[in-house]
Amino acid sequence: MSKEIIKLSEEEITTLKELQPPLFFQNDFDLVYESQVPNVGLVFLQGEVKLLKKKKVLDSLPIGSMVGLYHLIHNTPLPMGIKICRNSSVLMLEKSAILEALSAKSGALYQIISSL
Amino acid sequence: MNIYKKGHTIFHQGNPPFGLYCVNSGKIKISKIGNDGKESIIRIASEGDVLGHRSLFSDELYNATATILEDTAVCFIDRKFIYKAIQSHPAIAIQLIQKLSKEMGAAESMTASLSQKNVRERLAELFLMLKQSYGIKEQNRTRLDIKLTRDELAAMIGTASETVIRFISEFKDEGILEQEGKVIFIKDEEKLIEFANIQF
Repeated sequence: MSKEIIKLSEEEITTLKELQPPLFFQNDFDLVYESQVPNVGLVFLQGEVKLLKKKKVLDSLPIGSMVGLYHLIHNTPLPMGIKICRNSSVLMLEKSAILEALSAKSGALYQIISSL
Repeated sequence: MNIYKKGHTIFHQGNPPFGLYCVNSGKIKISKIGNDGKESIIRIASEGDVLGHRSLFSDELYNATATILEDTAVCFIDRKFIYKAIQSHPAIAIQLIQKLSKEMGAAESMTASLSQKNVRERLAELFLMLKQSYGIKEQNRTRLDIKLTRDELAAMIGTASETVIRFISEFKDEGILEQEGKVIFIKDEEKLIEFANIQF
C-alpha cells in the first residue's frame, strides 16, 4: 500500500496549501473508481476519505496522507477507489503542476515530490 | 482517458470543480436536484461534449450532477492545463465562448418551452430533440439510440412519469411513435412537429 499512500509532514502540507487552496466537498464524491487512472493526486486534510475495493470500504485514509500521486505520474490505474465523504477538505494536486515541477527540477512542489 | 460505468458520477452538485471533462463516447445525464428533492434533467451529454467548464471558469460549485447512463470514455483536463492552453492558444477560448453561447441559447429555449408550452408540446419537442441528437434512420422510421426511463423523460420536461406514459400512449395511437421493448422509434416526424407547436 505504501506506493499508493504517502504520509506527509505538517511542513509539507503547509507548503502545498500555499501552492493550491484546499477544496471543501459538501457532498460525497467518488474521486476515482477502482481500476481508473486518477485525474489528480489527493492530500487529505479534514473529514473522511474512504478507500474502496469491490465497492466495499477497505480503509479510511489517515489525515495528512497523500494518495494517487504515483499512479497519476505513471498514468497507471489505481487498484482501489477513493471516495471523498461529505464535509471533507482536500488538496488536489494537478498533473500539469506536478509534471511542470518535475521538468523544472525546482520549486516547493518538486522538493516534496523528489523527497518521497 | 477513463472508462466510467453506468451509475458512476463524474461530478456532483455542490462540490468544487478542479478541471473539465471531454466526452469521448457514451452518454451522461446532467441533472439538478431542486429544493423539493426532485430531479430535473438539464441535458444528455454525449460524444464530443465538454462538461464542467461553466463551474470551472465561473469558479462556482457544480450546479448539477453528471451521472453515467451507459459506459462512457471521458478525458479529464486539469484547471492549470486548460488555463495555460487558453493563454497560449486563444483559439481555444473562442471555441469555448462559442460552446457557452450555444448552451446559453439552448437553456433559454428550454426555459421558454417550460413556461410557454403544455406538457404534450414539451414531450413532442423532447422527442424531436432526441431525434436530432440520437436519431438513426431505419427505412421509414427513426430509431432513438438512447434508452431513457419514463421517470427520466418526465424529469427532462418537468412533469410526472404518469403524464409521460399517458402522452406516449397517445403518440403511439396517433401513429407518431412506435416502441419495441425499450427502444422508441419516431414514425411520423411531421405530426410530431405539429404536436410540438414549433416551426423548423
